[in-house]
Amino acid sequence: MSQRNLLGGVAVFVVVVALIVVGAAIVPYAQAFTSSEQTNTTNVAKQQYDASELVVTPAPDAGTVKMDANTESKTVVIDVAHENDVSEKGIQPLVDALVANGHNVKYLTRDDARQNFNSTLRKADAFVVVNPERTYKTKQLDALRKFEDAGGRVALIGDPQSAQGMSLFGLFAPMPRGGSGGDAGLTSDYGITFGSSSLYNMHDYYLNHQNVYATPQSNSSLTEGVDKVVFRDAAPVSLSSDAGSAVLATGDQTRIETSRQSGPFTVAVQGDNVVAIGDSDFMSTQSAYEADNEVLVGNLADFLVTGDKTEGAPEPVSTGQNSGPPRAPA
Amino acid sequence: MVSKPSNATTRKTVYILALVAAVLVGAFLAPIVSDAVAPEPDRVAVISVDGYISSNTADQLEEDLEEVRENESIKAVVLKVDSPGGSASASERMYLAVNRTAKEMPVVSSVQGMGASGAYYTMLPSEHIYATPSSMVGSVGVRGSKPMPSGGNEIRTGPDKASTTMDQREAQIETLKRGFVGSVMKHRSDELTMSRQEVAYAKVYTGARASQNGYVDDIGTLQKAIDHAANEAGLDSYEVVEKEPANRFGIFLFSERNGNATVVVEKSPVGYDGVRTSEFLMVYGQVQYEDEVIGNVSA
Repeated sequence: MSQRNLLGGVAVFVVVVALIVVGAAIVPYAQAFTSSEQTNTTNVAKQQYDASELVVTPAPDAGTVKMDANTESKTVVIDVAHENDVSEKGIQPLVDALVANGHNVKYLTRDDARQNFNSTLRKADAFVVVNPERTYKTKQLDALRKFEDAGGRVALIGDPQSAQGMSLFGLFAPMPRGGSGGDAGLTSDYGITFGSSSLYNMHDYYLNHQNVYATPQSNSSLTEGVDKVVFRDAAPVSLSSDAGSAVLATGDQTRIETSRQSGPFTVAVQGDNVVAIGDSDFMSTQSAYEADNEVLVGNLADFLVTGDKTEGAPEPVSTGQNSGPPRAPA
Repeated sequence: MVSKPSNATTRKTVYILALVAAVLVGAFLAPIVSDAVAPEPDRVAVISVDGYISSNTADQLEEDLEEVRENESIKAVVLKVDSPGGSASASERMYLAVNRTAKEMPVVSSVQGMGASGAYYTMLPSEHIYATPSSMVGSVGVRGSKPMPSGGNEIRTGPDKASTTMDQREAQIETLKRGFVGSVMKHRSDELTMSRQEVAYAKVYTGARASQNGYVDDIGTLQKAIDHAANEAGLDSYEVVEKEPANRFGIFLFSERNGNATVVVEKSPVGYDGVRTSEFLMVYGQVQYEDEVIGNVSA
């Protein structure tokens, strides 16, 4: 083989290898350049969703709890003696409004309820019950009735039975008024019953279907200035014909969670000296400033301090069968 | 004395060697070239959506569907679904991945046992949804934990740093619900016999009922779904390729307690390691959280 042929073969070998190596180096760049996946990916998510149609924004909390009542200082007693499911935050706006307007707020403890129930009521102008989980003794019910008959104001406020089966108003077993012995119902004593299941509305609600709107049904001091309130866990309230008037009701597409029965449902009732409201959250720090809830809280505070209670009622309980010298007050 | 080979002999030898080399190289390359040139059979890909939907499940499905879109021999996709849903964000990703694929080729879904919540979300872009009569379909809704009480043992730069308010949490969940329910109405309003509000009840239906109220299109098995997908793609003959079930790392189990399905988790569905966050879920069934784990899964 001649030297010229050998050099020619080597030259061909070098050129081919060089071409292959250069080509291998260029190909990745060419692929990246021609690939559309990297730079022109369709934004499927943006095509599918319109954020402006999806985003839900909570309404800003606004307003203050105001009281219109211009009365002398009154005493409002809040019951915490019956294992009431209520926290300090749950009633803070109501308490703040009362105190800021010169009224006294006292809490009825379990000891007070056992030993000084009558005397506590005697010194009170209004009595507030929120979510009791312990029943009232017959004597306590009798005292409360006398308190109310004497012009004392009573507010019964309760949420539905909880989902875990923990009974709230279920423990207020309806009993004939004046039933003797053992425990007796409280709300039924006033011709009022609270539903044990939550209300919901899938059509018109605030943020969640369980936050239902309620609107005034009649002219009443409790709903004066109220256009719409939000109840976060509302119970339907039923009342007998002489118990008072329905003053707040939900919309007609509201339903009861367990039975799916459709509304509208009464959620607040007002009588001469009694109000019953089927939700306690409306006066909590969380919800008191949603919709017109702060107006309702202010009206409730006004209701509590505008009664005209007879002094000295309820009278001390007489424990003897025969009349005799008065005993020391209970 | 040995005589030198003539020029002709040398040339002949080179030619023979070149020929032999060419034959050897050709024999090696021929099958490769043949395979490369021969027309590939049309295929229907069957992809499983199995178990609790987590970010791993979404990763796997996105990868599988991307491969399907890039593989020219695959002409249609069947989603083989048996899942109660899971993470809301993962379910949403899977829905978007299926939606993208459905724009390029027929996608048909077959519900095996459970096609609820996030799994139903995933199936929505399907051209046709089959379910067996006893399967469970629906549960169009979102759930999430309530805001956690703020701790007093740390300093935060803002009031919402660690948690949020109830209003904000409810608004977030309502926003996700709108996306989910809106997508259901977008894809199936022509078939559904119920209103948007009725869908938002988040009820779960048997496959039999779902075929009547429009949640699914028909009663049918996986094979029927495959046939349907092939027909939609215009295939006379085809091969079926099955993708492996989605990655089950951190999988969830089901058990029965008092007749209710319980999702048993290997780790909390509402957080990351050491951090309890408020992940939103699109899942049907009772969720047991970290401290209630009753079993682990190694699959």
